[in-house]
Amino acid sequence: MSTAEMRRTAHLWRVLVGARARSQMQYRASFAADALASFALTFLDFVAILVLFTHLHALGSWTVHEVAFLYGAAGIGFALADLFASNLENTSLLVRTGQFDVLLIRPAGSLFQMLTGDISLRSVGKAGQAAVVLAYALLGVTIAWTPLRVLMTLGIVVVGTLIFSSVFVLASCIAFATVSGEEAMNAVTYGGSFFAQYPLDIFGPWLRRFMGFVVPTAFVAYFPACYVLGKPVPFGLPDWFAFASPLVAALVLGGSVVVWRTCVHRYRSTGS
Amino acid sequence: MRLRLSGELVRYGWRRQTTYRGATVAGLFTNSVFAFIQGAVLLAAIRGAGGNIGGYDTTRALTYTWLAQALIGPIGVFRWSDIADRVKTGEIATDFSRPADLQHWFLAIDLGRAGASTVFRAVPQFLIGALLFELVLPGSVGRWLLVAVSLTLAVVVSFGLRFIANLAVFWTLEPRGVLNAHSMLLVGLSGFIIPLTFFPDGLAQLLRLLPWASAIQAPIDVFLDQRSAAAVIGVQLFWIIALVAAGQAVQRAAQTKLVVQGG
Repeated sequence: MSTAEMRRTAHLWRVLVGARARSQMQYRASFAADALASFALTFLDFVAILVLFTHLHALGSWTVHEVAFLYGAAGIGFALADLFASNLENTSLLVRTGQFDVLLIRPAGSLFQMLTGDISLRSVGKAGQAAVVLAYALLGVTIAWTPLRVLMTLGIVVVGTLIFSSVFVLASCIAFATVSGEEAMNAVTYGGSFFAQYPLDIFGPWLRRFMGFVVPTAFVAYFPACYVLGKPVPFGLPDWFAFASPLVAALVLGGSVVVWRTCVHRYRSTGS
Repeated sequence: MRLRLSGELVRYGWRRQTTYRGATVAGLFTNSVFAFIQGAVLLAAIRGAGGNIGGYDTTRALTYTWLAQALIGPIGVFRWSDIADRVKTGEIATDFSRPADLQHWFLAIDLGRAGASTVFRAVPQFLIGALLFELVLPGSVGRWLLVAVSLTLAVVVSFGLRFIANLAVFWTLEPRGVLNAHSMLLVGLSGFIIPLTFFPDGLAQLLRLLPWASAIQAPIDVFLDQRSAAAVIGVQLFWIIALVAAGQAVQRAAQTKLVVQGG
Protein backbone atom coordinates (compact mmCIF):
# COMPACT_ATOMS: atom_id res chain seq x y z
CA MET A 1 0.00 0.00 0.00
CA SER A 2 1.39 3.40 -0.92
CA THR A 3 1.41 6.29 1.53
CA ALA A 4 -1.39 8.03 -0.35
CA GLU A 5 -3.51 4.88 -0.27
CA MET A 6 -2.91 4.43 3.44
CA ARG A 7 -3.89 8.02 4.09
CA ARG A 8 -7.07 7.55 2.07
CA THR A 9 -7.91 4.35 3.97
CA ALA A 10 -7.31 6.03 7.32
CA HIS A 11 -9.51 8.95 6.26
CA LEU A 12 -12.27 6.63 5.08
CA TRP A 13 -12.06 4.68 8.34
CA ARG A 14 -12.48 7.88 10.36
CA VAL A 15 -15.46 9.01 8.27
CA LEU A 16 -17.25 5.65 8.45
CA VAL A 17 -16.55 4.95 12.13
CA GLY A 18 -17.53 8.52 12.98
CA ALA A 19 -20.84 8.00 11.18
CA ARG A 20 -21.49 4.79 13.16
CA ALA A 21 -20.73 6.60 16.40
CA ARG A 22 -23.13 9.43 15.56
CA SER A 23 -25.88 7.04 14.54
CA GLN A 24 -25.61 5.15 17.84
CA MET A 25 -25.91 8.39 19.75
CA GLN A 26 -29.20 9.22 18.01
CA TYR A 27 -31.22 7.24 20.54
CA ARG A 28 -29.85 9.36 23.35
CA ALA A 29 -31.65 7.75 26.30
CA SER A 30 -30.74 4.27 25.20
CA PHE A 31 -27.11 5.13 24.50
CA ALA A 32 -26.70 6.94 27.82
CA ALA A 33 -28.26 3.99 29.66
CA ASP A 34 -26.09 1.60 27.70
CA ALA A 35 -22.72 3.35 28.25
CA LEU A 36 -23.49 4.20 31.87
CA ALA A 37 -24.77 0.71 32.66
CA SER A 38 -21.77 -0.84 30.98
CA PHE A 39 -19.49 1.45 33.05
CA ALA A 40 -21.25 0.92 36.39
CA LEU A 41 -22.33 -2.68 36.03
CA THR A 42 -18.98 -4.06 34.89
CA PHE A 43 -17.81 -3.13 38.39
CA LEU A 44 -19.98 -6.03 39.58
CA ASP A 45 -17.53 -8.23 37.72
CA PHE A 46 -14.57 -6.71 39.58
CA VAL A 47 -16.48 -6.80 42.88
CA ALA A 48 -16.45 -10.60 42.54
CA ILE A 49 -12.62 -10.47 42.63
CA LEU A 50 -12.66 -8.16 45.65
CA VAL A 51 -15.08 -10.53 47.39
CA LEU A 52 -12.77 -13.49 46.71
CA PHE A 53 -9.91 -11.53 48.28
CA THR A 54 -11.90 -11.02 51.50
CA HIS A 55 -11.12 -14.72 52.08
CA LEU A 56 -7.46 -14.83 51.03
CA HIS A 57 -4.26 -12.78 50.82
CA ALA A 58 -3.05 -13.93 47.43
CA LEU A 59 -4.35 -15.73 44.35
CA GLY A 60 -1.39 -17.92 43.47
CA SER A 61 1.31 -15.43 44.41
CA TRP A 62 -0.63 -12.36 43.26
CA THR A 63 -2.13 -9.81 45.67
CA VAL A 64 -5.45 -8.10 45.05
CA HIS A 65 -3.74 -5.00 43.61
CA GLU A 66 -1.57 -7.09 41.33
CA VAL A 67 -4.61 -8.98 40.02
CA ALA A 68 -6.34 -5.60 39.60
CA PHE A 69 -3.35 -4.50 37.49
CA LEU A 70 -3.87 -7.47 35.15
CA TYR A 71 -7.64 -6.95 35.14
CA GLY A 72 -7.43 -3.23 34.39
CA ALA A 73 -4.65 -3.29 31.82
CA ALA A 74 -6.03 -6.29 29.90
CA GLY A 75 -9.57 -4.92 30.31
CA ILE A 76 -8.83 -1.61 28.57
CA GLY A 77 -7.23 -3.44 25.64
CA PHE A 78 -10.15 -5.82 25.29
CA ALA A 79 -12.72 -3.03 25.56
CA LEU A 80 -10.99 -1.08 22.76
CA ALA A 81 -10.80 -4.20 20.57
CA ASP A 82 -14.49 -4.83 21.32
CA LEU A 83 -15.26 -1.22 20.42
CA PHE A 84 -13.61 -1.34 17.00
CA ALA A 85 -13.59 -5.01 15.96
CA SER A 86 -16.61 -6.74 17.48
CA ASN A 87 -18.71 -6.22 14.34
CA LEU A 88 -16.77 -9.25 13.09
CA GLU A 89 -19.15 -11.27 15.27
CA ASN A 90 -21.74 -10.59 12.58
CA THR A 91 -19.68 -12.29 9.84
CA SER A 92 -21.59 -15.52 10.40
CA LEU A 93 -24.94 -13.75 10.04
CA LEU A 94 -23.82 -12.00 6.84
CA VAL A 95 -22.57 -15.25 5.30
CA ARG A 96 -25.77 -17.08 6.24
CA THR A 97 -28.04 -14.42 4.77
CA GLY A 98 -25.90 -13.89 1.67
CA GLN A 99 -25.23 -10.25 2.56
CA PHE A 100 -21.51 -10.95 2.74
CA ASP A 101 -21.46 -11.14 -1.08
CA VAL A 102 -22.32 -7.45 -1.19
CA LEU A 103 -19.02 -6.63 0.55
CA LEU A 104 -17.09 -8.45 -2.16
CA ILE A 105 -18.33 -6.29 -5.00
CA ARG A 106 -17.55 -2.99 -3.30
CA PRO A 107 -14.27 -1.19 -4.02
CA ALA A 108 -12.81 -1.76 -0.55
CA GLY A 109 -11.40 -4.76 1.32
CA SER A 110 -13.92 -7.04 3.03
CA LEU A 111 -12.05 -6.89 6.35
CA PHE A 112 -11.98 -3.09 6.17
CA GLN A 113 -15.72 -3.09 5.53
CA MET A 114 -16.39 -5.43 8.45
CA LEU A 115 -14.33 -3.19 10.74
CA THR A 116 -16.27 -0.11 9.64
CA GLY A 117 -19.68 -1.81 9.35
CA ASP A 118 -20.53 -1.08 12.95
CA ILE A 119 -18.82 -0.26 16.23
CA SER A 120 -19.74 -1.13 19.79
CA LEU A 121 -19.75 2.35 21.27
CA ARG A 122 -20.97 1.10 24.65
CA SER A 123 -17.55 -0.52 25.18
CA VAL A 124 -16.33 2.97 26.06
CA GLY A 125 -18.04 2.35 29.40
CA LYS A 126 -16.17 -0.92 29.89
CA ALA A 127 -12.86 0.77 29.00
CA GLY A 128 -13.59 3.46 31.58
CA GLN A 129 -14.28 0.85 34.25
CA ALA A 130 -11.04 -1.00 33.45
CA ALA A 131 -9.13 2.30 33.66
CA VAL A 132 -10.58 2.93 37.12
CA VAL A 133 -9.56 -0.57 38.22
CA LEU A 134 -6.05 0.03 36.82
CA ALA A 135 -5.84 3.27 38.81
CA TYR A 136 -6.90 1.35 41.94
CA ALA A 137 -4.13 -1.17 41.22
CA LEU A 138 -1.47 1.51 40.73
CA LEU A 139 -2.41 3.12 44.06
CA GLY A 140 -1.93 -0.18 45.87
CA VAL A 141 1.24 -1.65 44.37
CA THR A 142 4.76 -0.41 44.95
CA ILE A 143 6.53 -0.20 41.60
CA ALA A 144 10.08 1.05 41.12
CA TRP A 145 9.02 3.31 38.24
CA THR A 146 11.46 3.69 35.36
CA PRO A 147 10.72 5.12 31.89
CA LEU A 148 10.70 1.54 30.57
CA ARG A 149 8.10 0.41 33.12
CA VAL A 150 5.85 3.38 32.27
CA LEU A 151 6.23 2.56 28.58
CA MET A 152 5.42 -1.11 29.19
CA THR A 153 2.30 -0.27 31.20
CA LEU A 154 1.02 1.91 28.36
CA GLY A 155 2.21 -0.74 25.91
CA ILE A 156 -0.05 -3.36 27.52
CA VAL A 157 -3.07 -1.34 26.42
CA VAL A 158 -1.84 -1.02 22.82
CA VAL A 159 -0.69 -4.64 22.58
CA GLY A 160 -3.93 -5.83 24.20
CA THR A 161 -6.03 -3.91 21.68
CA LEU A 162 -4.04 -5.37 18.78
CA ILE A 163 -3.98 -8.98 20.06
CA PHE A 164 -7.68 -9.04 20.95
CA SER A 165 -8.62 -7.39 17.63
CA SER A 166 -6.62 -10.08 15.83
CA VAL A 167 -8.41 -12.74 17.88
CA PHE A 168 -11.73 -11.25 16.71
CA VAL A 169 -10.53 -11.47 13.08
CA LEU A 170 -9.24 -15.05 13.40
CA ALA A 171 -12.26 -16.29 15.33
CA SER A 172 -14.71 -14.76 12.87
CA CYS A 173 -13.15 -16.87 10.09
CA ILE A 174 -15.10 -19.79 11.59
CA ALA A 175 -18.08 -18.29 9.74
CA PHE A 176 -16.58 -19.48 6.45
CA ALA A 177 -16.24 -23.06 7.71
CA THR A 178 -19.58 -23.64 9.42
CA VAL A 179 -22.83 -21.72 9.49
CA SER A 180 -23.73 -22.37 13.10
CA GLY A 181 -20.42 -22.26 14.94
CA GLU A 182 -20.45 -18.56 15.75
CA GLU A 183 -20.87 -19.18 19.47
CA ALA A 184 -17.44 -20.85 19.55
CA MET A 185 -15.99 -17.39 18.82
CA ASN A 186 -16.89 -16.31 22.35
CA ALA A 187 -14.59 -18.96 23.84
CA VAL A 188 -11.51 -17.14 22.55
CA THR A 189 -12.74 -13.52 22.45
CA TYR A 190 -14.68 -13.07 25.71
CA GLY A 191 -13.03 -16.21 27.10
CA GLY A 192 -9.62 -14.77 26.21
CA SER A 193 -10.40 -11.54 27.99
CA PHE A 194 -11.69 -13.46 31.05
CA PHE A 195 -8.51 -15.56 31.06
CA ALA A 196 -6.16 -12.58 30.67
CA GLN A 197 -7.58 -10.97 33.84
CA TYR A 198 -6.05 -13.64 36.05
CA PRO A 199 -2.45 -14.69 36.73
CA LEU A 200 -1.38 -17.41 34.27
CA ASP A 201 0.18 -19.50 37.03
CA ILE A 202 -3.15 -20.45 38.65
CA PHE A 203 -4.27 -22.40 35.57
CA GLY A 204 -3.49 -26.02 34.72
CA PRO A 205 -1.04 -26.85 31.91
CA TRP A 206 -3.58 -27.53 29.12
CA LEU A 207 -5.67 -24.44 29.73
CA ARG A 208 -2.47 -22.40 30.01
CA ARG A 209 -1.18 -23.66 26.67
CA PHE A 210 -4.46 -23.18 24.81
CA MET A 211 -5.70 -19.88 26.26
CA GLY A 212 -2.29 -18.42 27.14
CA PHE A 213 -0.15 -19.32 24.16
CA VAL A 214 -2.30 -20.62 21.25
CA VAL A 215 -4.71 -17.74 21.85
CA PRO A 216 -1.77 -15.65 23.00
CA THR A 217 -3.49 -13.86 25.89
CA ALA A 218 -0.52 -14.44 28.22
CA PHE A 219 1.31 -11.80 26.17
CA VAL A 220 -1.48 -9.25 26.61
CA ALA A 221 -0.89 -8.40 30.26
CA TYR A 222 0.67 -11.29 32.17
CA PHE A 223 4.27 -11.32 30.88
CA PRO A 224 4.65 -7.52 30.67
CA ALA A 225 3.06 -7.26 34.15
CA CYS A 226 5.65 -9.68 35.54
CA TYR A 227 8.32 -7.18 34.54
CA VAL A 228 6.47 -4.04 35.63
CA LEU A 229 5.55 -5.54 39.02
CA GLY A 230 9.02 -7.05 39.50
CA LYS A 231 7.89 -10.69 39.53
CA PRO A 232 9.96 -13.53 38.08
CA VAL A 233 8.76 -15.04 34.78
CA PRO A 234 7.50 -18.51 35.81
CA PHE A 235 7.69 -22.02 34.30
CA GLY A 236 11.43 -21.65 33.61
CA LEU A 237 10.66 -19.36 30.66
CA PRO A 238 13.36 -16.85 29.69
CA ASP A 239 13.13 -13.30 31.09
CA TRP A 240 12.85 -11.74 27.63
CA PHE A 241 9.31 -13.18 27.38
CA ALA A 242 8.27 -10.07 29.29
CA PHE A 243 9.33 -8.00 26.27
CA ALA A 244 8.02 -10.30 23.53
CA SER A 245 4.48 -8.88 23.50
CA PRO A 246 4.93 -6.30 20.70
CA LEU A 247 6.47 -8.98 18.49
CA VAL A 248 3.67 -11.44 19.28
CA ALA A 249 1.07 -8.73 18.60
CA ALA A 250 2.65 -7.93 15.22
CA LEU A 251 2.79 -11.62 14.26
CA VAL A 252 -0.80 -12.33 15.30
CA LEU A 253 -2.06 -9.21 13.55
CA GLY A 254 -0.24 -10.07 10.32
CA GLY A 255 -1.29 -13.71 10.59
CA SER A 256 -4.93 -12.84 11.15
CA VAL A 257 -5.04 -10.65 8.02
CA VAL A 258 -3.47 -13.44 5.96
CA VAL A 259 -5.92 -16.04 7.33
CA TRP A 260 -8.88 -13.73 6.69
CA ARG A 261 -7.77 -13.15 3.09
CA THR A 262 -7.30 -16.88 2.51
CA CYS A 263 -10.75 -17.62 3.90
CA VAL A 264 -12.43 -14.94 1.81
CA HIS A 265 -10.51 -16.07 -1.27
CA ARG A 266 -11.85 -19.62 -0.82
CA TYR A 267 -15.32 -18.46 0.14
CA ARG A 268 -18.16 -19.75 -1.98
CA SER A 269 -21.44 -17.95 -1.59
CA THR A 270 -24.36 -19.85 -0.07
CA GLY A 271 -26.27 -18.65 -3.10
CA SER A 272 -29.26 -17.29 -1.25
CA MET B 1 -58.98 -24.82 25.22
CA ARG B 2 -56.59 -22.49 26.97
CA LEU B 3 -54.54 -25.40 28.27
CA ARG B 4 -54.34 -26.87 24.79
CA LEU B 5 -53.13 -23.57 23.34
CA SER B 6 -50.45 -23.37 26.04
CA GLY B 7 -49.39 -26.92 25.20
CA GLU B 8 -49.05 -26.01 21.52
CA LEU B 9 -46.97 -22.93 22.37
CA VAL B 10 -44.66 -24.95 24.64
CA ARG B 11 -44.13 -27.43 21.81
CA TYR B 12 -43.47 -24.58 19.37
CA GLY B 13 -40.80 -23.14 21.70
CA TRP B 14 -39.21 -26.57 22.05
CA ARG B 15 -39.08 -27.16 18.28
CA ARG B 16 -37.63 -23.72 17.59
CA GLN B 17 -34.86 -24.33 20.11
CA THR B 18 -33.94 -27.75 18.70
CA THR B 19 -33.65 -26.52 15.09
CA TYR B 20 -30.06 -25.41 15.53
CA ARG B 21 -28.08 -28.56 16.32
CA GLY B 22 -24.65 -27.32 15.19
CA ALA B 23 -24.94 -24.33 17.47
CA THR B 24 -25.33 -26.72 20.40
CA VAL B 25 -21.84 -28.14 19.89
CA ALA B 26 -20.29 -24.67 19.57
CA GLY B 27 -22.14 -23.58 22.70
CA LEU B 28 -21.00 -26.60 24.71
CA PHE B 29 -17.40 -25.90 23.71
CA THR B 30 -17.58 -22.23 24.68
CA ASN B 31 -19.29 -22.82 28.01
CA SER B 32 -16.77 -25.56 28.83
CA VAL B 33 -13.87 -23.16 28.24
CA PHE B 34 -15.52 -20.66 30.58
CA ALA B 35 -16.12 -23.40 33.17
CA PHE B 36 -12.44 -24.41 33.02
CA ILE B 37 -11.32 -20.82 33.60
CA GLN B 38 -13.86 -20.03 36.31
CA GLY B 39 -13.24 -23.39 37.99
CA ALA B 40 -9.48 -22.79 38.09
CA VAL B 41 -9.97 -19.34 39.63
CA LEU B 42 -12.32 -20.68 42.33
CA LEU B 43 -9.98 -23.59 43.10
CA ALA B 44 -6.98 -21.27 43.44
CA ALA B 45 -9.05 -19.04 45.74
CA ILE B 46 -10.27 -21.94 47.89
CA ARG B 47 -6.73 -23.32 48.20
CA GLY B 48 -5.50 -19.85 49.15
CA ALA B 49 -8.22 -19.64 51.81
CA GLY B 50 -7.22 -22.97 53.37
CA GLY B 51 -9.60 -25.37 51.64
CA ASN B 52 -13.05 -23.89 52.23
CA ILE B 53 -14.96 -20.67 51.53
CA GLY B 54 -18.50 -20.36 52.89
CA GLY B 55 -19.09 -24.12 52.90
CA TYR B 56 -17.63 -24.63 49.42
CA ASP B 57 -14.70 -27.04 49.19
CA THR B 58 -13.05 -27.72 45.82
CA THR B 59 -15.59 -30.43 44.80
CA ARG B 60 -18.60 -28.25 45.58
CA ALA B 61 -16.98 -25.25 43.89
CA LEU B 62 -16.44 -27.22 40.68
CA THR B 63 -20.01 -28.54 40.82
CA TYR B 64 -21.21 -24.95 41.25
CA THR B 65 -19.12 -23.79 38.27
CA TRP B 66 -20.42 -26.43 35.86
CA LEU B 67 -24.00 -25.89 37.07
CA ALA B 68 -23.73 -22.13 36.53
CA GLN B 69 -22.46 -22.66 32.97
CA ALA B 70 -25.15 -25.27 32.34
CA LEU B 71 -27.86 -22.81 33.42
CA ILE B 72 -26.92 -20.20 30.76
CA GLY B 73 -29.17 -21.85 28.17
CA PRO B 74 -32.35 -22.63 30.13
CA ILE B 75 -32.26 -19.39 32.14
CA GLY B 76 -31.46 -17.29 29.04
CA VAL B 77 -28.63 -15.35 30.68
CA PHE B 78 -27.46 -13.61 27.50
CA ARG B 79 -29.20 -11.94 24.55
CA TRP B 80 -32.86 -12.71 24.59
CA SER B 81 -34.62 -10.05 22.55
CA ASP B 82 -37.51 -11.98 20.97
CA ILE B 83 -40.16 -9.51 22.15
CA ALA B 84 -38.04 -6.35 21.68
CA ASP B 85 -37.34 -7.44 18.09
CA ARG B 86 -41.07 -7.77 17.48
CA VAL B 87 -41.64 -4.29 18.92
CA LYS B 88 -39.04 -2.88 16.51
CA THR B 89 -40.58 -4.57 13.46
CA GLY B 90 -44.15 -3.81 14.54
CA GLU B 91 -45.13 -7.49 14.73
CA ILE B 92 -46.01 -6.87 18.37
CA ALA B 93 -49.28 -5.32 17.12
CA THR B 94 -50.31 -8.79 15.90
CA ASP B 95 -49.30 -10.28 19.25
CA PHE B 96 -51.45 -7.78 21.12
CA SER B 97 -54.48 -8.64 18.99
CA ARG B 98 -54.29 -12.40 19.65
CA PRO B 99 -57.04 -14.01 21.73
CA ALA B 100 -54.47 -14.81 24.42
CA ASP B 101 -52.63 -12.71 26.95
CA LEU B 102 -49.24 -11.46 25.66
CA GLN B 103 -47.31 -12.46 28.78
CA HIS B 104 -49.00 -15.86 28.93
CA TRP B 105 -48.28 -16.43 25.22
CA PHE B 106 -44.55 -15.73 25.45
CA LEU B 107 -44.14 -17.51 28.79
CA ALA B 108 -45.52 -20.71 27.28
CA ILE B 109 -43.10 -20.47 24.34
CA ASP B 110 -40.26 -19.72 26.75
CA LEU B 111 -41.01 -22.79 28.86
CA GLY B 112 -40.75 -24.93 25.73
CA ARG B 113 -37.48 -23.24 24.80
CA ALA B 114 -36.09 -23.73 28.30
CA GLY B 115 -37.16 -27.39 28.35
CA ALA B 116 -35.35 -28.16 25.12
CA SER B 117 -32.37 -26.13 26.28
CA THR B 118 -32.22 -28.12 29.52
CA VAL B 119 -32.25 -31.46 27.69
CA PHE B 120 -29.88 -30.56 24.85
CA ARG B 121 -27.66 -27.90 26.43
CA ALA B 122 -27.69 -27.96 30.23
CA VAL B 123 -27.60 -31.73 30.81
CA PRO B 124 -24.77 -32.43 28.31
CA GLN B 125 -22.89 -29.39 29.66
CA PHE B 126 -23.03 -30.70 33.22
CA LEU B 127 -22.19 -34.23 32.05
CA ILE B 128 -18.98 -32.95 30.43
CA GLY B 129 -18.01 -31.49 33.80
CA ALA B 130 -19.02 -34.66 35.65
CA LEU B 131 -16.91 -36.81 33.30
CA LEU B 132 -13.83 -34.64 33.73
CA PHE B 133 -14.07 -33.87 37.44
CA GLU B 134 -15.47 -35.35 40.62
CA LEU B 135 -18.73 -33.45 41.19
CA VAL B 136 -21.45 -33.62 43.85
CA LEU B 137 -24.82 -35.09 42.82
CA PRO B 138 -28.19 -34.94 44.63
CA GLY B 139 -28.50 -38.09 46.72
CA SER B 140 -32.21 -38.90 46.44
CA VAL B 141 -35.11 -38.89 43.99
CA GLY B 142 -36.86 -36.34 46.19
CA ARG B 143 -33.89 -33.99 45.90
CA TRP B 144 -33.87 -34.35 42.09
CA LEU B 145 -37.58 -33.46 42.07
CA LEU B 146 -36.90 -30.36 44.16
CA VAL B 147 -34.16 -29.41 41.69
CA ALA B 148 -36.64 -29.77 38.81
CA VAL B 149 -39.18 -27.58 40.63
CA SER B 150 -36.61 -24.92 41.52
CA LEU B 151 -35.20 -24.90 37.99
CA THR B 152 -38.67 -24.45 36.46
CA LEU B 153 -39.39 -21.59 38.85
CA ALA B 154 -35.98 -20.06 38.00
CA VAL B 155 -36.93 -20.06 34.31
CA VAL B 156 -40.20 -18.27 35.13
CA VAL B 157 -38.40 -15.68 37.30
CA SER B 158 -35.87 -15.06 34.54
CA PHE B 159 -38.70 -14.80 31.99
CA GLY B 160 -40.44 -12.27 34.23
CA LEU B 161 -37.32 -10.09 34.23
CA ARG B 162 -36.66 -10.53 30.49
CA PHE B 163 -40.30 -9.75 29.63
CA ILE B 164 -40.13 -6.37 31.39
CA ALA B 165 -36.66 -5.55 29.98
CA ASN B 166 -37.93 -6.36 26.48
CA LEU B 167 -41.09 -4.26 26.78
CA ALA B 168 -38.95 -1.32 27.93
CA VAL B 169 -38.15 -0.82 24.24
CA PHE B 170 -41.60 0.83 23.93
CA TRP B 171 -40.07 3.77 25.81
CA THR B 172 -36.38 3.68 24.90
CA LEU B 173 -36.99 2.79 21.19
CA GLU B 174 -33.55 1.11 21.09
CA PRO B 175 -33.40 -2.21 22.96
CA ARG B 176 -29.62 -2.63 23.39
CA GLY B 177 -29.17 -0.46 26.48
CA VAL B 178 -31.86 -1.96 28.69
CA LEU B 179 -31.22 -5.53 27.58
CA ASN B 180 -27.48 -5.22 28.26
CA ALA B 181 -28.17 -3.66 31.65
CA HIS B 182 -30.54 -6.54 32.42
CA SER B 183 -27.92 -9.15 31.47
CA MET B 184 -25.21 -7.47 33.52
CA LEU B 185 -27.43 -7.26 36.60
CA LEU B 186 -28.34 -10.90 36.19
CA VAL B 187 -24.69 -11.95 35.77
CA GLY B 188 -23.41 -9.74 38.57
CA LEU B 189 -26.07 -10.21 41.27
CA SER B 190 -27.42 -13.72 40.75
CA GLY B 191 -24.50 -15.79 42.03
CA PHE B 192 -23.41 -16.54 38.47
CA ILE B 193 -19.77 -15.37 38.83
CA ILE B 194 -19.14 -16.46 42.42
CA PRO B 195 -21.48 -18.19 44.91
CA LEU B 196 -23.45 -15.60 46.87
CA THR B 197 -22.29 -17.15 50.15
CA PHE B 198 -18.78 -15.81 49.35
CA PHE B 199 -20.10 -12.28 49.92
CA PRO B 200 -20.00 -10.77 53.44
CA ASP B 201 -22.96 -12.15 55.45
CA GLY B 202 -25.37 -9.20 55.38
CA LEU B 203 -24.81 -8.60 51.68
CA ALA B 204 -25.22 -12.29 50.87
CA GLN B 205 -28.55 -12.31 52.77
CA LEU B 206 -29.75 -9.27 50.83
CA LEU B 207 -28.66 -10.67 47.44
CA ARG B 208 -30.49 -13.94 48.13
CA LEU B 209 -33.72 -11.97 48.58
CA LEU B 210 -33.35 -10.06 45.29
CA PRO B 211 -34.99 -11.51 42.15
CA TRP B 212 -31.73 -12.30 40.30
CA ALA B 213 -30.65 -14.89 42.87
CA SER B 214 -33.94 -16.71 42.28
CA ALA B 215 -32.86 -17.28 38.69
CA ILE B 216 -29.36 -18.77 39.24
CA GLN B 217 -28.25 -19.31 42.83
CA ALA B 218 -31.63 -20.75 43.90
CA PRO B 219 -31.61 -23.94 41.78
CA ILE B 220 -27.86 -24.37 42.49
CA ASP B 221 -28.49 -24.14 46.25
CA VAL B 222 -31.22 -26.77 45.97
CA PHE B 223 -28.95 -29.01 43.87
CA LEU B 224 -26.07 -28.72 46.35
CA ASP B 225 -28.44 -28.91 49.35
CA GLN B 226 -26.73 -25.73 50.54
CA ARG B 227 -29.82 -24.15 52.10
CA SER B 228 -33.40 -25.10 53.02
CA ALA B 229 -35.21 -25.92 49.76
CA ALA B 230 -38.50 -24.63 51.21
CA ALA B 231 -36.98 -21.20 51.91
CA VAL B 232 -35.36 -21.03 48.46
CA ILE B 233 -38.55 -22.04 46.65
CA GLY B 234 -40.61 -19.67 48.80
CA VAL B 235 -38.52 -16.68 47.68
CA GLN B 236 -38.79 -17.84 44.06
CA LEU B 237 -42.60 -18.05 44.32
CA PHE B 238 -42.72 -14.56 45.80
CA TRP B 239 -40.76 -13.14 42.86
CA ILE B 240 -42.86 -14.98 40.29
CA ILE B 241 -46.02 -13.38 41.71
CA ALA B 242 -44.36 -9.94 41.91
CA LEU B 243 -42.81 -10.11 38.43
CA VAL B 244 -45.93 -11.44 36.71
CA ALA B 245 -47.95 -8.60 38.26
CA ALA B 246 -45.31 -6.01 37.30
CA GLY B 247 -45.14 -7.47 33.78
CA GLN B 248 -48.92 -7.16 33.43
CA ALA B 249 -48.75 -3.50 34.47
CA VAL B 250 -45.95 -2.76 31.99
CA GLN B 251 -47.84 -4.64 29.29
CA ARG B 252 -50.98 -2.55 29.85
CA ALA B 253 -48.96 0.68 29.73
CA ALA B 254 -47.23 -0.47 26.54
CA GLN B 255 -50.57 -1.33 24.94
CA THR B 256 -51.87 2.21 25.44
CA LYS B 257 -48.66 3.55 23.88
CA LEU B 258 -48.92 1.35 20.81
CA VAL B 259 -49.79 3.15 17.58
CA VAL B 260 -50.39 0.94 14.56
CA GLN B 261 -49.56 2.73 11.34
CA GLY B 262 -51.59 1.41 8.48
CA GLY B 263 -50.51 0.88 4.92
